[in-house]
Amino acid sequence: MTWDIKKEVCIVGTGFCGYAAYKKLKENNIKLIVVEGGEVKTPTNAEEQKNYKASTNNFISSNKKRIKNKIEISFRDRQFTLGGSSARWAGYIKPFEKSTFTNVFEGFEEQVWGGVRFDKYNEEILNLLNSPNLDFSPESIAKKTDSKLPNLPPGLEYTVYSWATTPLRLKEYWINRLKIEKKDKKDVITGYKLIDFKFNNEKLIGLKFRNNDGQELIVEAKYFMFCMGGIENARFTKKLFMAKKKEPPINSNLCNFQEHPHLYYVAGFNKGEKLLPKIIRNRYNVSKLIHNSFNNGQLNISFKAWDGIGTPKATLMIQENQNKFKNRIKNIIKPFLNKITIPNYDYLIVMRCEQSPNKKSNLKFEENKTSLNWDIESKDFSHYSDYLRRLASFLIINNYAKDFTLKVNSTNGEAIPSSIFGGAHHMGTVPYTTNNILINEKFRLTENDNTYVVGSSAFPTSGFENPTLAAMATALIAADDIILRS
Amino acid sequence: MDHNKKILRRDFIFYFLSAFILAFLIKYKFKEDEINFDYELNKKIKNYNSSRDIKSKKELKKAIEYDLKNNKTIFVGKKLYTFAEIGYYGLL
Repeated sequence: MTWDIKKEVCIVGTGFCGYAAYKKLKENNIKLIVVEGGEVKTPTNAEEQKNYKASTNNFISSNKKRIKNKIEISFRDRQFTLGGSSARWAGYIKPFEKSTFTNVFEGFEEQVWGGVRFDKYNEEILNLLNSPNLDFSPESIAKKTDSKLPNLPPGLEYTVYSWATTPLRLKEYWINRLKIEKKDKKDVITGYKLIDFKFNNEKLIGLKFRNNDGQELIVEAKYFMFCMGGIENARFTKKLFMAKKKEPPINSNLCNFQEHPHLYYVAGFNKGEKLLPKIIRNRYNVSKLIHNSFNNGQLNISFKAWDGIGTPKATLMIQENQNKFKNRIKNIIKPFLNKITIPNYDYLIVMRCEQSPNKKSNLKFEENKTSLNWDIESKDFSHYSDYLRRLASFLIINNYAKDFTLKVNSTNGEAIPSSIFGGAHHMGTVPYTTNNILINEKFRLTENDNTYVVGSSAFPTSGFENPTLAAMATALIAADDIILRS
Repeated sequence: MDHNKKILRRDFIFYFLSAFILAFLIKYKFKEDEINFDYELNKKIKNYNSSRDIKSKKELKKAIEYDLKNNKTIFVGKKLYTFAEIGYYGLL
Protein backbone atom coordinates (compact mmCIF):
# COMPACT_ATOMS: atom_id res chain seq x y z
CA MET A 1 0.00 0.00 0.00
CA THR A 2 1.29 3.46 -0.86
CA TRP A 3 0.61 6.54 1.22
CA ASP A 4 0.44 9.79 -0.80
CA ILE A 5 0.90 13.24 0.67
CA LYS A 6 0.75 16.60 -1.10
CA LYS A 7 2.32 19.64 0.56
CA GLU A 8 4.07 22.81 -0.43
CA VAL A 9 7.41 21.87 1.09
CA CYS A 10 8.98 18.52 1.97
CA ILE A 11 11.91 18.56 4.41
CA VAL A 12 13.98 15.38 4.62
CA GLY A 13 15.70 14.95 7.98
CA THR A 14 15.01 16.05 11.55
CA GLY A 15 18.47 17.23 12.59
CA PHE A 16 19.24 20.86 13.38
CA CYS A 17 18.77 22.01 9.79
CA GLY A 18 15.43 20.24 9.43
CA TYR A 19 14.37 21.71 12.76
CA ALA A 20 15.42 25.29 11.84
CA ALA A 21 13.71 25.18 8.44
CA TYR A 22 10.58 23.58 9.94
CA LYS A 23 10.24 26.29 12.61
CA LYS A 24 10.75 29.12 10.14
CA LEU A 25 8.38 27.80 7.47
CA LYS A 26 5.71 26.94 10.07
CA GLU A 27 5.85 30.48 11.42
CA ASN A 28 5.12 31.69 7.89
CA ASN A 29 2.14 29.32 7.52
CA ILE A 30 3.75 27.23 4.77
CA LYS A 31 2.17 23.79 4.49
CA LEU A 32 4.94 21.31 4.95
CA ILE A 33 5.92 17.81 5.93
CA VAL A 34 9.12 16.60 7.60
CA VAL A 35 10.15 13.01 6.87
CA GLU A 36 12.76 11.27 9.03
CA GLY A 37 14.42 7.99 8.01
CA GLY A 38 15.17 6.91 11.57
CA GLU A 39 12.77 5.64 14.18
CA VAL A 40 11.78 7.29 17.45
CA LYS A 41 13.86 4.71 19.31
CA THR A 42 17.57 5.42 19.03
CA PRO A 43 19.44 2.29 17.87
CA THR A 44 21.49 0.79 20.67
CA ASN A 45 23.70 -1.47 18.56
CA ALA A 46 24.95 -1.75 15.00
CA GLU A 47 22.51 -4.57 14.17
CA GLU A 48 19.61 -2.21 14.70
CA GLN A 49 21.02 0.06 12.03
CA LYS A 50 21.50 -2.42 9.24
CA ASN A 51 20.93 0.07 6.48
CA TYR A 52 24.06 1.97 7.35
CA LYS A 53 27.42 0.33 6.82
CA ALA A 54 30.50 2.44 6.44
CA SER A 55 34.22 1.93 6.37
CA THR A 56 37.32 4.14 6.37
CA ASN A 57 40.93 3.89 5.36
CA ASN A 58 43.16 2.98 8.30
CA PHE A 59 45.82 5.62 7.91
CA ILE A 60 45.94 9.24 6.88
CA SER A 61 48.82 10.04 4.61
CA SER A 62 51.50 12.36 5.85
CA ASN A 63 54.95 12.50 4.32
CA LYS A 64 56.44 12.71 7.78
CA LYS A 65 54.56 10.06 9.68
CA ARG A 66 51.81 7.48 9.36
CA ILE A 67 48.83 8.78 11.30
CA LYS A 68 46.13 6.45 12.44
CA ASN A 69 42.73 7.46 11.11
CA LYS A 70 40.08 7.48 13.80
CA ILE A 71 37.27 9.09 11.89
CA GLU A 72 33.98 8.77 13.73
CA ILE A 73 31.63 7.40 11.14
CA SER A 74 30.78 4.82 13.63
CA PHE A 75 27.46 3.73 14.82
CA ARG A 76 27.66 6.24 17.69
CA ASP A 77 27.78 9.33 15.53
CA ARG A 78 25.82 8.47 12.44
CA GLN A 79 22.60 7.29 13.91
CA PHE A 80 19.43 7.16 11.90
CA THR A 81 17.09 8.37 14.56
CA LEU A 82 14.52 11.06 15.21
CA GLY A 83 16.48 14.28 15.78
CA GLY A 84 19.43 12.93 13.78
CA SER A 85 22.91 12.44 15.15
CA SER A 86 22.47 15.59 17.25
CA ALA A 87 19.38 14.28 19.04
CA ARG A 88 21.20 14.44 22.36
CA TRP A 89 22.99 17.68 21.67
CA ALA A 90 24.49 19.18 24.80
CA GLY A 91 24.23 22.87 24.05
CA TYR A 92 27.76 23.57 22.89
CA ILE A 93 27.99 26.78 20.88
CA LYS A 94 30.69 28.40 18.81
CA PRO A 95 29.79 31.74 17.29
CA PHE A 96 30.24 32.98 13.73
CA GLU A 97 33.61 34.56 13.25
CA LYS A 98 35.21 36.55 10.48
CA SER A 99 37.35 33.55 9.63
CA THR A 100 34.23 31.50 8.88
CA PHE A 101 33.74 33.44 5.66
CA THR A 102 37.18 34.47 4.52
CA ASN A 103 39.28 31.37 3.95
CA VAL A 104 40.62 30.79 0.43
CA PHE A 105 42.68 27.72 -0.39
CA GLU A 106 45.02 27.17 -3.31
CA GLY A 107 43.30 25.09 -6.01
CA PHE A 108 39.87 25.83 -4.51
CA GLU A 109 39.58 29.53 -5.40
CA GLU A 110 35.86 29.32 -6.22
CA GLN A 111 35.06 27.08 -3.28
CA VAL A 112 34.61 30.01 -0.86
CA TRP A 113 31.67 31.68 0.87
CA GLY A 114 31.84 34.68 -1.49
CA GLY A 115 28.96 37.02 -0.63
CA VAL A 116 27.10 34.58 1.63
CA ARG A 117 26.77 35.96 5.17
CA PHE A 118 25.15 34.34 8.21
CA ASP A 119 25.55 37.08 10.80
CA LYS A 120 21.96 38.31 10.55
CA TYR A 121 20.69 34.88 11.66
CA ASN A 122 22.78 34.91 14.83
CA GLU A 123 20.04 35.91 17.27
CA GLU A 124 17.39 33.76 15.57
CA ILE A 125 19.58 30.64 15.79
CA LEU A 126 20.63 31.21 19.39
CA ASN A 127 16.97 31.50 20.34
CA LEU A 128 16.15 28.32 18.40
CA LEU A 129 18.89 26.58 20.41
CA ASN A 130 17.70 27.90 23.80
CA SER A 131 21.03 29.64 24.16
CA PRO A 132 20.33 33.35 24.28
CA ASN A 133 23.87 34.42 25.00
CA LEU A 134 24.12 37.15 22.44
CA ASP A 135 27.44 38.76 23.23
CA PHE A 136 30.29 36.48 22.25
CA SER A 137 33.09 39.03 22.20
CA PRO A 138 35.98 37.70 24.37
CA GLU A 139 36.81 41.21 25.61
CA SER A 140 33.25 41.82 26.75
CA ILE A 141 32.97 38.40 28.42
CA ALA A 142 36.31 38.96 30.18
CA LYS A 143 35.17 42.36 31.44
CA LYS A 144 31.93 40.97 32.82
CA THR A 145 33.76 38.17 34.64
CA ASP A 146 36.47 40.48 36.02
CA SER A 147 39.16 38.68 34.04
CA LYS A 148 42.09 40.41 32.43
CA LEU A 149 43.14 38.73 29.21
CA PRO A 150 46.90 38.81 28.56
CA ASN A 151 48.06 40.12 25.18
CA LEU A 152 48.62 37.40 22.62
CA PRO A 153 51.37 37.08 19.98
CA PRO A 154 50.51 37.44 16.25
CA GLY A 155 48.49 34.50 14.91
CA LEU A 156 46.69 33.79 18.19
CA GLU A 157 43.36 35.35 19.22
CA TYR A 158 40.83 34.69 21.93
CA THR A 159 37.58 32.94 21.11
CA VAL A 160 34.51 32.12 23.22
CA TYR A 161 32.69 28.83 23.74
CA SER A 162 29.32 28.63 25.42
CA TRP A 163 27.26 25.89 27.00
CA ALA A 164 23.55 26.65 27.35
CA THR A 165 21.64 26.25 30.59
CA THR A 166 18.77 24.21 29.26
CA PRO A 167 20.03 22.78 25.98
CA LEU A 168 17.56 21.95 23.30
CA ARG A 169 16.86 18.22 23.11
CA LEU A 170 15.76 17.73 19.53
CA LYS A 171 14.32 14.28 20.02
CA GLU A 172 12.00 15.50 22.77
CA TYR A 173 10.91 18.39 20.57
CA TRP A 174 9.96 16.07 17.69
CA ILE A 175 8.26 13.52 19.96
CA ASN A 176 5.94 16.30 21.11
CA ARG A 177 5.22 17.16 17.48
CA LEU A 178 4.47 13.49 16.74
CA LYS A 179 1.78 13.42 19.42
CA ILE A 180 -0.52 15.36 17.11
CA GLU A 181 -3.11 12.74 16.23
CA LYS A 182 -5.17 14.38 13.48
CA LYS A 183 -3.94 13.11 10.13
CA ASP A 184 -4.53 16.36 8.27
CA LYS A 185 -2.48 18.29 10.86
CA LYS A 186 0.37 15.77 10.98
CA ASP A 187 3.56 17.38 9.77
CA VAL A 188 6.25 14.95 11.00
CA ILE A 189 6.65 11.35 9.87
CA THR A 190 9.35 9.06 11.18
CA GLY A 191 10.73 5.70 10.06
CA TYR A 192 10.53 6.34 6.30
CA LYS A 193 13.80 6.42 4.38
CA LEU A 194 14.25 8.28 1.12
CA ILE A 195 14.68 5.79 -1.73
CA ASP A 196 13.77 7.42 -5.03
CA PHE A 197 12.45 10.42 -6.96
CA LYS A 198 9.37 11.21 -8.99
CA PHE A 199 9.78 13.44 -12.08
CA ASN A 200 7.50 15.19 -14.49
CA ASN A 201 9.36 16.22 -17.67
CA GLU A 202 12.68 16.22 -15.78
CA LYS A 203 11.19 18.38 -13.03
CA LEU A 204 11.31 16.84 -9.57
CA ILE A 205 7.75 16.65 -8.29
CA GLY A 206 7.95 14.03 -5.58
CA LEU A 207 10.09 11.95 -3.25
CA LYS A 208 9.57 8.28 -2.60
CA PHE A 209 10.17 6.85 0.89
CA ARG A 210 9.92 3.32 2.33
CA ASN A 211 9.73 2.08 5.92
CA ASN A 212 11.18 -1.14 7.35
CA ASP A 213 7.88 -2.99 6.74
CA GLY A 214 8.05 -2.18 3.02
CA GLN A 215 5.28 0.41 3.09
CA GLU A 216 5.85 3.26 0.68
CA LEU A 217 5.21 6.96 1.05
CA ILE A 218 5.20 9.41 -1.84
CA VAL A 219 5.39 13.10 -0.98
CA GLU A 220 4.56 15.51 -3.78
CA ALA A 221 5.62 19.08 -3.17
CA LYS A 222 6.66 22.32 -4.83
CA TYR A 223 9.94 22.51 -2.93
CA PHE A 224 12.23 19.93 -1.36
CA MET A 225 14.91 20.42 1.25
CA PHE A 226 17.63 17.83 1.91
CA CYS A 227 18.69 18.10 5.57
CA MET A 228 20.19 14.65 5.90
CA GLY A 229 23.78 15.42 6.86
CA GLY A 230 27.05 15.25 4.93
CA ILE A 231 26.89 11.68 3.69
CA GLU A 232 23.23 11.23 2.80
CA ASN A 233 22.90 14.68 1.19
CA ALA A 234 25.77 13.76 -1.16
CA ARG A 235 24.34 10.28 -1.83
CA PHE A 236 20.96 11.63 -2.92
CA THR A 237 22.35 14.62 -4.82
CA LYS A 238 24.44 12.17 -6.84
CA LYS A 239 21.47 9.87 -7.21
CA LEU A 240 19.40 12.77 -8.50
CA PHE A 241 21.85 13.26 -11.36
CA MET A 242 21.87 9.51 -12.07
CA ALA A 243 18.06 9.39 -12.07
CA LYS A 244 18.12 11.99 -14.84
CA LYS A 245 20.85 9.98 -16.60
CA LYS A 246 23.33 12.83 -16.16
CA GLU A 247 26.82 13.05 -14.73
CA PRO A 248 27.57 15.53 -11.94
CA PRO A 249 29.48 18.51 -13.39
CA ILE A 250 33.24 18.06 -13.66
CA ASN A 251 35.12 19.98 -10.94
CA SER A 252 31.98 20.28 -8.83
CA ASN A 253 33.77 18.38 -6.04
CA LEU A 254 30.54 16.53 -5.28
CA CYS A 255 31.33 13.78 -2.72
CA ASN A 256 34.66 15.27 -1.63
CA PHE A 257 34.69 15.98 2.06
CA GLN A 258 36.52 17.77 4.87
CA GLU A 259 36.55 16.69 8.47
CA HIS A 260 37.12 18.46 11.75
CA PRO A 261 40.45 16.96 12.75
CA HIS A 262 40.44 16.47 16.51
CA LEU A 263 43.94 16.04 17.87
CA TYR A 264 42.57 15.97 21.42
CA TYR A 265 45.20 16.03 24.19
CA VAL A 266 48.27 17.16 22.33
CA ALA A 267 50.32 18.43 25.27
CA GLY A 268 50.36 19.14 28.98
CA PHE A 269 52.06 21.58 31.33
CA ASN A 270 52.37 22.37 35.02
CA LYS A 271 51.41 25.60 36.73
CA GLY A 272 53.93 28.34 36.32
CA GLU A 273 54.59 31.26 38.64
CA LYS A 274 51.49 33.03 37.33
CA LEU A 275 47.99 31.64 36.88
CA LEU A 276 46.04 32.07 33.68
CA PRO A 277 42.61 33.70 34.20
CA LYS A 278 40.05 31.15 35.38
CA ILE A 279 37.88 31.68 32.31
CA ILE A 280 40.77 30.39 30.15
CA ARG A 281 41.74 27.47 32.40
CA ASN A 282 38.33 25.90 32.53
CA ARG A 283 34.63 26.37 32.00
CA TYR A 284 33.38 29.32 33.97
CA ASN A 285 29.96 29.28 35.56
CA VAL A 286 28.10 32.39 34.66
CA SER A 287 24.86 33.86 35.79
CA LYS A 288 22.73 36.82 34.88
CA LEU A 289 25.97 38.79 34.84
CA ILE A 290 26.38 37.83 31.19
CA HIS A 291 22.81 38.04 30.02
CA ASN A 292 19.44 38.40 31.77
CA SER A 293 18.19 35.07 30.49
CA PHE A 294 21.49 33.23 30.89
CA ASN A 295 21.12 31.48 34.18
CA ASN A 296 23.91 29.23 35.42
CA GLY A 297 25.28 28.57 31.96
CA GLN A 298 28.96 28.08 31.26
CA LEU A 299 31.56 29.90 29.20
CA ASN A 300 35.15 29.33 28.30
CA ILE A 301 37.67 31.49 26.49
CA SER A 302 40.06 29.53 24.32
CA PHE A 303 42.78 30.34 21.80
CA LYS A 304 42.07 30.56 18.10
CA ALA A 305 45.04 30.16 15.79
CA TRP A 306 44.93 31.46 12.25
CA ASP A 307 47.47 32.96 9.91
CA GLY A 308 44.94 34.64 7.67
CA ILE A 309 43.55 33.68 4.31
CA GLY A 310 44.67 30.33 2.99
CA THR A 311 45.66 28.41 6.09
CA PRO A 312 43.56 26.04 8.12
CA LYS A 313 42.59 27.22 11.57
CA ALA A 314 42.66 25.60 14.97
CA THR A 315 41.38 26.12 18.49
CA LEU A 316 43.47 25.28 21.49
CA MET A 317 41.58 24.80 24.72
CA ILE A 318 43.25 24.55 28.13
CA GLN A 319 41.67 22.10 30.54
CA GLU A 320 42.51 21.24 34.12
CA ASN A 321 43.73 17.67 34.44
CA GLN A 322 41.03 16.12 36.61
CA ASN A 323 42.50 12.61 36.58
CA LYS A 324 46.09 13.26 37.51
CA PHE A 325 46.42 10.34 39.94
CA LYS A 326 44.46 7.91 37.76
CA ASN A 327 46.54 8.87 34.74
CA ARG A 328 49.78 8.32 36.64
CA ILE A 329 48.79 4.70 37.30
CA LYS A 330 47.70 4.23 33.69
CA ASN A 331 50.95 5.70 32.42
CA ILE A 332 53.02 3.07 34.29
CA ILE A 333 51.19 0.28 32.47
CA LYS A 334 50.68 1.84 29.03
CA PRO A 335 54.24 1.57 27.61
CA PHE A 336 54.13 -2.21 28.20
CA LEU A 337 50.91 -2.41 26.18
CA ASN A 338 52.52 -0.33 23.43
CA LYS A 339 50.04 2.43 24.19
CA ILE A 340 50.80 6.13 24.37
CA THR A 341 50.93 7.69 27.80
CA ILE A 342 48.69 10.62 28.71
CA PRO A 343 50.51 13.86 29.51
CA ASN A 344 50.08 13.92 33.27
CA TYR A 345 50.36 17.57 34.10
CA ASP A 346 48.27 20.20 35.87
CA TYR A 347 46.76 21.29 32.56
CA LEU A 348 46.13 19.60 29.22
CA ILE A 349 45.86 21.27 25.83
CA VAL A 350 43.01 20.08 23.62
CA MET A 351 43.33 20.93 19.94
CA ARG A 352 40.66 20.92 17.26
CA CYS A 353 41.34 22.03 13.73
CA GLU A 354 40.11 22.88 10.26
CA GLN A 355 41.46 21.03 7.26
CA SER A 356 42.23 22.34 3.77
CA PRO A 357 39.86 21.10 1.05
CA ASN A 358 41.37 17.99 -0.47
CA LYS A 359 40.37 16.20 -3.66
CA LYS A 360 41.79 12.92 -2.37
CA SER A 361 39.36 12.97 0.53
CA ASN A 362 36.12 11.52 -0.80
CA LEU A 363 33.02 9.42 -0.32
CA LYS A 364 32.41 6.27 -2.32
CA PHE A 365 28.94 4.80 -2.45
CA GLU A 366 28.47 1.09 -3.00
CA GLU A 367 25.22 -0.82 -2.81
CA ASN A 368 25.45 -1.83 0.83
CA LYS A 369 28.38 0.15 2.03
CA THR A 370 29.72 3.70 2.09
CA SER A 371 33.47 4.22 2.16
CA LEU A 372 35.05 7.35 3.54
CA ASN A 373 38.55 7.84 2.31
CA TRP A 374 39.76 10.62 4.57
CA ASP A 375 42.93 12.42 3.63
CA ILE A 376 44.57 15.61 4.91
CA GLU A 377 47.26 17.77 3.37
CA SER A 378 50.57 17.12 5.06
CA LYS A 379 51.18 20.86 5.32
CA ASP A 380 48.07 21.20 7.50
CA PHE A 381 49.97 19.36 10.24
CA SER A 382 52.83 21.85 9.92
CA HIS A 383 50.35 24.65 10.60
CA TYR A 384 48.88 22.81 13.60
CA SER A 385 52.38 22.26 14.98
CA ASP A 386 53.27 25.91 14.44
CA TYR A 387 50.14 27.05 16.31
CA LEU A 388 51.05 24.79 19.22
CA ARG A 389 54.60 26.20 19.34
CA ARG A 390 53.23 29.74 19.44
CA LEU A 391 50.91 28.91 22.32
CA ALA A 392 53.66 27.06 24.19
CA SER A 393 56.04 30.02 23.74
CA PHE A 394 53.37 32.42 24.98
CA LEU A 395 52.69 30.30 28.07
CA ILE A 396 56.37 29.82 28.89
CA ILE A 397 57.53 33.39 28.39
CA ASN A 398 54.70 34.76 30.54
CA ASN A 399 55.44 32.23 33.30
CA TYR A 400 52.04 30.59 32.95
CA ALA A 401 53.60 27.19 32.27
CA LYS A 402 56.54 25.01 33.15
CA ASP A 403 57.40 21.47 32.01
CA PHE A 404 55.54 21.89 28.70
CA THR A 405 55.46 18.39 27.18
CA LEU A 406 53.92 16.91 24.03
CA LYS A 407 51.81 13.78 24.18
CA VAL A 408 53.89 11.99 21.55
CA ASN A 409 57.40 12.50 20.23
CA SER A 410 57.82 15.16 17.58
CA THR A 411 58.97 14.35 14.05
CA ASN A 412 61.53 16.55 12.34
CA GLY A 413 60.83 19.36 14.80
CA GLU A 414 57.06 19.22 14.40
CA ALA A 415 54.34 18.03 16.75
CA ILE A 416 52.52 15.42 14.67
CA PRO A 417 49.94 13.19 16.36
CA SER A 418 50.09 9.42 16.08
CA SER A 419 46.34 9.21 15.59
CA ILE A 420 43.73 11.71 14.59
CA PHE A 421 40.01 11.72 15.23
CA GLY A 422 37.44 12.97 12.77
CA GLY A 423 34.78 15.11 14.35
CA ALA A 424 31.95 13.16 12.65
CA HIS A 425 31.26 16.26 10.59
CA HIS A 426 31.75 15.20 6.99
CA MET A 427 31.52 18.65 5.48
CA GLY A 428 31.57 20.10 1.98
CA THR A 429 30.20 16.98 0.30
CA VAL A 430 27.86 19.09 -1.86
CA PRO A 431 29.88 22.31 -1.70
CA TYR A 432 28.65 25.77 -2.51
CA THR A 433 30.95 27.48 -5.01
CA THR A 434 30.79 31.06 -6.28
CA ASN A 435 30.31 29.76 -9.86
CA ASN A 436 27.14 27.94 -8.64
CA ILE A 437 28.23 24.76 -10.36
CA LEU A 438 26.23 22.57 -7.93
CA ILE A 439 24.26 24.88 -5.65
CA ASN A 440 23.73 28.62 -5.55
CA GLU A 441 23.94 31.12 -2.67
CA LYS A 442 20.40 30.16 -1.60
CA PHE A 443 21.54 26.50 -1.47
CA ARG A 444 19.29 25.64 -4.43
CA LEU A 445 20.54 22.83 -6.65
CA THR A 446 21.46 24.24 -10.08
CA GLU A 447 20.22 21.04 -11.71
CA ASN A 448 16.91 21.06 -9.80
CA ASP A 449 15.73 24.56 -9.06
CA ASN A 450 13.12 23.44 -6.54
CA THR A 451 15.51 21.38 -4.42
CA TYR A 452 17.66 22.79 -1.61
CA VAL A 453 20.68 21.03 -0.12
CA VAL A 454 21.50 22.53 3.28
CA GLY A 455 23.68 21.90 6.28
CA SER A 456 27.41 21.37 6.67
CA SER A 457 27.35 19.40 3.39
CA ALA A 458 27.04 22.77 1.61
CA PHE A 459 30.10 24.34 3.28
CA PRO A 460 32.77 25.35 0.75
CA THR A 461 35.41 25.32 3.50
CA SER A 462 34.80 23.66 6.79
CA GLY A 463 35.86 26.36 9.22
CA PHE A 464 36.64 25.14 12.66
CA GLU A 465 34.24 23.91 15.18
CA ASN A 466 31.46 24.17 16.04
CA PRO A 467 29.48 24.09 12.75
CA THR A 468 25.98 24.00 14.28
CA LEU A 469 25.25 27.71 13.84
CA ALA A 470 26.55 27.89 10.27
CA ALA A 471 24.69 24.69 9.30
CA MET A 472 21.43 26.04 10.71
CA ALA A 473 21.98 29.35 8.92
CA THR A 474 22.07 27.54 5.55
CA ALA A 475 18.65 26.03 6.35
CA LEU A 476 17.28 29.46 7.31
CA ILE A 477 18.59 31.03 4.08
CA ALA A 478 16.87 28.29 2.07
CA ALA A 479 13.66 28.68 4.11
CA ASP A 480 13.69 32.44 3.49
CA ASP A 481 14.08 31.78 -0.23
CA ILE A 482 11.08 29.41 -0.20
CA ILE A 483 9.00 32.01 1.65
CA LEU A 484 9.90 34.59 -1.00
CA ARG A 485 9.00 32.21 -3.84
CA SER A 486 5.73 31.00 -2.29
CA MET B 1 84.63 -20.13 40.70
CA ASP B 2 83.92 -23.52 39.19
CA HIS B 3 84.35 -23.08 35.44
CA ASN B 4 83.01 -26.54 34.76
CA LYS B 5 79.65 -25.78 36.30
CA LYS B 6 76.94 -25.48 33.64
CA ILE B 7 74.39 -22.67 33.74
CA LEU B 8 70.98 -23.90 34.81
CA ARG B 9 68.08 -23.54 32.38
CA ARG B 10 66.17 -21.61 35.04
CA ASP B 11 69.05 -19.13 35.41
CA PHE B 12 69.39 -18.81 31.66
CA ILE B 13 65.70 -17.90 31.31
CA PHE B 14 66.01 -15.43 34.19
CA TYR B 15 69.06 -13.66 32.67
CA PHE B 16 67.56 -13.69 29.21
CA LEU B 17 64.29 -12.17 30.33
CA SER B 18 66.03 -9.60 32.54
CA ALA B 19 68.17 -8.48 29.61
CA PHE B 20 65.09 -8.32 27.39
CA ILE B 21 63.11 -6.19 29.87
CA LEU B 22 66.13 -3.93 30.46
CA ALA B 23 66.54 -3.39 26.69
CA PHE B 24 62.84 -2.67 26.40
CA LEU B 25 62.95 -0.05 29.17
CA ILE B 26 66.12 1.56 27.79
CA LYS B 27 64.49 1.77 24.37
CA TYR B 28 61.51 3.64 25.80
CA LYS B 29 63.69 5.83 27.99
CA PHE B 30 65.87 7.06 25.14
CA LYS B 31 63.25 7.16 22.45
CA GLU B 32 62.10 10.54 23.82
CA ASP B 33 65.44 12.16 23.17
CA GLU B 34 65.87 11.22 19.51
CA ILE B 35 66.75 14.15 17.28
CA ASN B 36 65.98 13.58 13.64
CA PHE B 37 65.96 16.91 11.84
CA ASP B 38 66.29 16.93 8.08
CA TYR B 39 69.07 18.80 6.27
CA GLU B 40 66.99 21.93 5.52
CA LEU B 41 65.87 22.39 9.10
CA ASN B 42 69.38 21.77 10.36
CA LYS B 43 70.69 24.43 8.01
CA LYS B 44 67.96 26.89 8.99
CA ILE B 45 68.77 26.63 12.70
CA LYS B 46 72.55 26.78 12.14
CA ASN B 47 72.23 29.83 9.90
CA TYR B 48 70.06 31.61 12.44
CA ASN B 49 72.44 30.84 15.28
CA SER B 50 75.54 31.79 13.27
CA SER B 51 74.46 35.44 13.44
CA ARG B 52 74.94 35.55 17.24
CA ASP B 53 77.50 34.37 19.72
CA ILE B 54 76.14 33.21 23.06
CA LYS B 55 78.96 33.00 25.59
CA SER B 56 77.37 33.16 29.02
CA LYS B 57 74.26 31.84 30.74
CA LYS B 58 73.01 35.42 31.02
CA GLU B 59 73.26 35.87 27.25
CA LEU B 60 71.54 32.53 26.76
CA LYS B 61 68.62 33.61 28.95
CA LYS B 62 68.17 36.74 26.86
CA ALA B 63 68.45 34.80 23.60
CA ILE B 64 65.85 32.25 24.81
CA GLU B 65 63.45 35.06 25.65
CA TYR B 66 64.00 36.65 22.23
CA ASP B 67 63.45 33.32 20.44
CA LEU B 68 60.25 32.57 22.38
CA LYS B 69 58.88 35.97 21.44
CA ASN B 70 59.85 35.61 17.79
CA ASN B 71 58.66 32.07 17.16
CA LYS B 72 62.20 30.69 16.80
CA THR B 73 61.37 27.43 18.51
CA ILE B 74 61.23 23.79 17.63
CA PHE B 75 60.01 20.56 19.17
CA VAL B 76 62.69 18.03 20.10
CA GLY B 77 61.32 14.76 21.40
CA LYS B 78 58.42 15.93 23.54
CA LYS B 79 59.91 19.26 24.60
CA LEU B 80 59.96 22.76 23.14
CA TYR B 81 63.43 24.16 22.52
CA THR B 82 64.51 27.58 21.32
CA PHE B 83 67.07 27.84 18.53
CA ALA B 84 69.36 29.44 21.13
CA GLU B 85 69.22 26.36 23.39
CA ILE B 86 69.86 24.04 20.45
CA GLY B 87 72.97 26.02 19.50
CA TYR B 88 74.24 26.51 23.05
CA TYR B 89 73.85 22.88 24.15
CA GLY B 90 75.03 21.53 20.76
CA LEU B 91 71.90 19.46 20.22
CA LEU B 92 72.40 19.26 16.44
